[in-house]
Amino acid sequence: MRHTVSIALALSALTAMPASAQTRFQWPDTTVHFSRYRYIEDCLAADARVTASIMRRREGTVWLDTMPPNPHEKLEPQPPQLTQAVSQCAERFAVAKVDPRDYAHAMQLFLAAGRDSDATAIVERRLAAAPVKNAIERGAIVDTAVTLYVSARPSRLASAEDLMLRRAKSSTDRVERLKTYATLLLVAKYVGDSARAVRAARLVVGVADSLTVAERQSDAFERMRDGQDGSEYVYEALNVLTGMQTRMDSLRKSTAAYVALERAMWPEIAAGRPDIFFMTSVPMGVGEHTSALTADFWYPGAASSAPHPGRGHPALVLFLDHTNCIALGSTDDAQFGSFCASRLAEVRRLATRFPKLEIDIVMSTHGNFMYLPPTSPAEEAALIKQLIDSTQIPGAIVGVTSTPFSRLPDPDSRRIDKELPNNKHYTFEAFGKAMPPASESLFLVDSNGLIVGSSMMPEDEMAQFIQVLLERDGKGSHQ
Amino acid sequence: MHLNRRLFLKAGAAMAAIATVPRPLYAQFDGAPEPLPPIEDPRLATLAARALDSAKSAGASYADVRLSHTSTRRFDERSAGDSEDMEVGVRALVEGYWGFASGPVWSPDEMARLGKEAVHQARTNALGKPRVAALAPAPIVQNGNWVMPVKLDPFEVSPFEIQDQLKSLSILAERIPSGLLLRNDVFAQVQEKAFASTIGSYCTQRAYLTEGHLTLQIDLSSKHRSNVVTNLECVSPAGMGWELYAADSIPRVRNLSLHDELLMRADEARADGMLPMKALEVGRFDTVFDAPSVANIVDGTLGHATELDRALGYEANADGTSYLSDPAAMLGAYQAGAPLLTLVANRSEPGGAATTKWDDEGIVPDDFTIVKNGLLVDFQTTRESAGWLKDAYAKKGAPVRSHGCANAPSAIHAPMEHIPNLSIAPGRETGDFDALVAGIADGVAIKRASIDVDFQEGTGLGFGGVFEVKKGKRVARYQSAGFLFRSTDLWKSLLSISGDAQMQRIGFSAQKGEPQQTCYHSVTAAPAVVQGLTIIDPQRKA
Amino acid sequence: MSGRSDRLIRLSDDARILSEQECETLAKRVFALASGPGETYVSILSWWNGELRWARNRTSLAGDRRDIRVDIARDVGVGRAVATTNQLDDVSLESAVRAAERAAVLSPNVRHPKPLHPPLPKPDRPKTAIWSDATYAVTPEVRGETARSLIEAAEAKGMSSAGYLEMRAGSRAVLSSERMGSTPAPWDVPYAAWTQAQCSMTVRDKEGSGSGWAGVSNHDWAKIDASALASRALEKCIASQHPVALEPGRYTVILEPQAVAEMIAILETSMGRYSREFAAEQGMGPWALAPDDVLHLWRTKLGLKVLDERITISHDPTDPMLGIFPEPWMEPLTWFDKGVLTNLPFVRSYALEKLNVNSARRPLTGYRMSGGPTSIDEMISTTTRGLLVSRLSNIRMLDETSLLSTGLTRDGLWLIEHGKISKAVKNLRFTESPLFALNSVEQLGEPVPVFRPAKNPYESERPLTPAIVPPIKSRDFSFTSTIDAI
Repeated sequence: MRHTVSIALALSALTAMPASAQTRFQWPDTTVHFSRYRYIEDCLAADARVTASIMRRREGTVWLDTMPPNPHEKLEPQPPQLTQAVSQCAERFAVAKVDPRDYAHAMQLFLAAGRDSDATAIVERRLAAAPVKNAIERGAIVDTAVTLYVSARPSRLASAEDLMLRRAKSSTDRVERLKTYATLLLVAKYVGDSARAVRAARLVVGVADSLTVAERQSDAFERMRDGQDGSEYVYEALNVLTGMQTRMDSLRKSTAAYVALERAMWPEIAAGRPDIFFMTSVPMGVGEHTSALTADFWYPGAASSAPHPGRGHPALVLFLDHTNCIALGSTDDAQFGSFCASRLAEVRRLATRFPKLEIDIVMSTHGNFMYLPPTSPAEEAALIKQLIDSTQIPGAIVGVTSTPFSRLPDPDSRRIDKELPNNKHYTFEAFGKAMPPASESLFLVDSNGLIVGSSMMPEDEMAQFIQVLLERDGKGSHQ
Repeated sequence: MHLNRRLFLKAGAAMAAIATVPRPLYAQFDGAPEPLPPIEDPRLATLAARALDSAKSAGASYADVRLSHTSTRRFDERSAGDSEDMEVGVRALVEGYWGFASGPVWSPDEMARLGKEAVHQARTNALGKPRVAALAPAPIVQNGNWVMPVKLDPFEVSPFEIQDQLKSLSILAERIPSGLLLRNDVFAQVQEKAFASTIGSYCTQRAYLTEGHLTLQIDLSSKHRSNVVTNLECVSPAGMGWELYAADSIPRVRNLSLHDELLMRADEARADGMLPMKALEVGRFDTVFDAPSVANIVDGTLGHATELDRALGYEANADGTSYLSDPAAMLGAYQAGAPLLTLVANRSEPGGAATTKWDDEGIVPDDFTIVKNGLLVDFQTTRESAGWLKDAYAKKGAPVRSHGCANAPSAIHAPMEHIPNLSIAPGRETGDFDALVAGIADGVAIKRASIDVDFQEGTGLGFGGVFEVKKGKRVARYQSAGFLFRSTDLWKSLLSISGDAQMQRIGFSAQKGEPQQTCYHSVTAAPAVVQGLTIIDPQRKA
Repeated sequence: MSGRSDRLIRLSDDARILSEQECETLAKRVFALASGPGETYVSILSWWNGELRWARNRTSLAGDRRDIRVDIARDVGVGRAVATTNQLDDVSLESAVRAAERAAVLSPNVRHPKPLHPPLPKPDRPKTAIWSDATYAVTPEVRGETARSLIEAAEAKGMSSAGYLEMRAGSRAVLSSERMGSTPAPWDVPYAAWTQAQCSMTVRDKEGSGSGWAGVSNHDWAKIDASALASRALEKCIASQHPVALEPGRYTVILEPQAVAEMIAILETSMGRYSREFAAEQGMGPWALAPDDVLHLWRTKLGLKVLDERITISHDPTDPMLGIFPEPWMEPLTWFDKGVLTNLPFVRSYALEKLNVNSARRPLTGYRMSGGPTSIDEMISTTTRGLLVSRLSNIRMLDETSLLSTGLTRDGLWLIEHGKISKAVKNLRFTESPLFALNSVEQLGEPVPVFRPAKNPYESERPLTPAIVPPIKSRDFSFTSTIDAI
């Protein structure tokens, strides 16, 4: 016997309702209502999101890291849709109402919204709120503001410079002033504003010349910025003042002339101090002779019959670590590293432009490649060749060394790589410090096997060097 | 009757042929497959009725069915993910024994199967010794419908906006010196449930649950300091929508916007972290607890101890029993705490994580008192368990009724008694935590205590930020300190409780059952002072 | 009725979980629904539970539950997101795929094209005994009968019992659209089905003055002796009645196998969190050793004796008592070999880079611990003064480097004096580290299977956690306070 349970329903009311189907996994209207965005940080978050989505869309079609560097990139305006979104969100924030303590985020927002005068106003208000005598606080504010001005798109170099010059003027401490001018120089170079860079360089050199030995040996000088020695900036300034024209003219004469020009700057840098704390911008090995590269596996095979870098033409020696190029993820997958990809793209562009330029890629084995099971050195070398082939660098010569290694005793058994002969031969000393070649480092070698430049140069400078070397070789002059 | 897997595999070709045809599942009403309708659709009532009919036909004296449709969306700064499921569960009572069957399919055939299976399950147990299940009366719900009121449906807010808000919090954290958000994510759930029972009730509901995790670390690393890590409990689980994050203030949760709350908490954490560290002096001290501590202690002790099924041994093989071991005798007689202590329960407060219109047995939960002026006066009940206190209720002239504590995470689980929202009655003190501290000449203050209680909730070990108080001020932090307590002694030693303005609501999850279920509820409490708390070093071995 | 030949899932007794073919078909349907570029990954889990719970000597609920969970991940090149559903119809699956695609915008994950795509070798997943027809075939009637006989044992002695019986079957497959021909990709998880059975029981006297517990879990119901379980729980209840308070302090303890397993669970958690990479590269966790003076590299305690030399903890996947979900590189493994730490878990990428081996090491999920010749009775008779502990509960780790932890004894604690159990004692809180306890071992007994079921049926990665553990006697175990709970 069937029992029917009656459920009391006001059926009449309900049957009138249409059986509307509900979409599963509903997705709401994704329009963002900025009216609900109360805080500056909310708008900065929106800025970050829109920026990221624009970048991702561009990355979808081209791998941005492999594009040739754009010297005007920092001075280009930001995409209009970003400015529109940010200014819409930022509308509600009147500069007069912003608490000066929030100046950093406010400034970032105003710059992104194209409200430069508001950005300047809030910085000025913040500076006004800081006691005149508190140099540290005022210095920190200027540092923050400068960073924000420079990282805005387009870079607000004039405003940054203005702040920095005012700060320098108000400072009686010469090392402090040098730091400010050094920052100005760095920022001008970063943005690609050569006129400003030259002005800044003059200021740097001007102050540096007036420093006493004690000042040069002070902590503040040795750890001037980001752990870098003040001498770095003096070197940068001298380079800028010398100018590319002069440097190329001397290189055109001979490598020796160029090296002499380079080394002439060194006493000024090292003035009074035989041993500088840490130098990164001085190109390592300039003027040094190169040794022939050694390898266990050469590609093409014929390359083993002659020394590399060869004589009679300029050469580019690239040290590369394939584990930096292809990073193994935590799962059975691998990601291609940005820095490596951009370096290889740079080399490809140079190789394509200068067919006479020899390209030597120095690599070594690690016992594994990507997510594949452990490889013998021969297997790994073959895979490395495939990797380089895929980068389509015309005429690339690859030398792979089977890395000597030891193992920690069992059960640890971690592999400890030993120093590679190529790395040893390309470790050069300057200012009392020896620097082995890091992965992705480049050496430009002239047709006599002398090093004339390294990876510290941006791509367009490297191209100019190569051009000059080729012209020089063409005329048959060498020394 | 039943095939084992080997047979199934052996069936070979024929089975393989059927198996290759996809097995779609869909809500099937009139015969044609169609997407899921809203929960108020009358055809769901028909489905539900089919399940109950089947159970009745098979011999159930009582049966109920729940259909649940749950959607969730989770976000952190860099990702988002959705889930959605449909579940149905039928419960049947046969000769005092319960049976249950559940699954993911909403179709007439499946309703029939589940109804029959639930009865089958019950029957296999009814073969043994007799059991009585007297269900407390339940008013018939005539096609009720309820939607939890929320200000911002998290599924209607643009996901970009939600992610922007999360990112905004971590950008804000950049402003905090040495600050870092260790965790910044949010989970939102909306669950639609239809309930029907053989007494003739039918109701449909839609409820929201939003839960966030916001953990801030301030790096004070140095010889005498360590990192300070603080969790913002204002985003603990709540019966709310996105307003949990977006509202300018939420009564009893936060007085500031979440943005300002984070900054305030950072300042507070830094100030606490800058206090000098001190070696612990073990002893008994008058102690000030902040509101989250009191909420945690209430939850861990009285909250769990007054679950009636637990007190009567229904969780004995799982988490344990209760120190309130004889509910019938203790009700109205046991002094559970100081006269200052009154504990009430509800499933009605707006924003409560256990808030609902009808519980999972179709009962409208009432607001009821568990402890009144220190005296234990009631327990958490369902339709069946209310009857276990029949005599005790009769003695105090109270009706035998379920307090509506039946709950389940979704229809795949059988409903059971779960902790409702709890609230201690605010006290007379007008001051806040610091004001209570000001009243202590020599003692201890504890912030954000968490406790480990024993399997009867009778004793416990507490952890948290423990501070030395001297002359009304917190002067030092104890590096490794905790407290030992007996639940009843602790509640009896209550000296004062802050007032209404200091009440804070915090969301908790609670696990119980075999198989285990997790449900949510809120606890509202205010800062309080207890006398003579035993402070120890929990890392000290014997 | 629609004209299609689709048929409803019946979820009848012969088809409680999805079969391999059904998973394959389902995956293909999901792949076909993807729109736009990129790969699709689908994880298909299905489970069935047959449950019976009782309390106060009467069954409180018997149930049959089943569910499905399909996680669909769409990697669209610039983002990757997951949507989860438990419905298998076309509309639901398609909506889920769209949801994953939409959410991918919120989950950026730009992956630059790889210059090479050498094929990944297919790892071996050994067969391991994790399916039992006996478990799958258990009916509600059998569960009911079993429960009645267990209850009867307690009720006959005037005691109250509570307990739980559960039979579970589950299946799982993770398949991706990125395939090598028609065979699954090497990173896919091939279809596997498992069963799990558990039986546990608590017996208490009517006044609540005593409590005994026993429990066993195994993938094979036939290996569980429910009646022996009931006897044990009953005996302990009777023996534990009316305990007296004992001064906390350091005691020689005899830890029954269940209690030992609970201490080892602390090691398990720690190993899961602080794998070999963490120890060797970052010096974090209890298994790290300070950097050496020469190379200045963090080291691990691998090769060092960290436990008593009689302790070996290992796992052999061919052992029918230790079936766990098959994973690659599942050769027999020993974590502690005669007290020496011999293995820490690590992932394959770490092994390739640092060790140049194509392998991974699984964490401690299922294991066998070595034992010794001493029975618990012999341990008692050779103890001048000590405590016999049945099991531990509510354990919390206090320090992640020393593994100092605190927790409670439960369901039976007895004082031993002069070689005999002298009285039942109130439960105590302990504050001790498993590293200390397992280094202060005096005697060990015969290893037996313990109760370690995987609780959550939706847990798919490691759905089985068997362990075979001996009782041990250990010195100077630290108990720091008395508790009233029984």
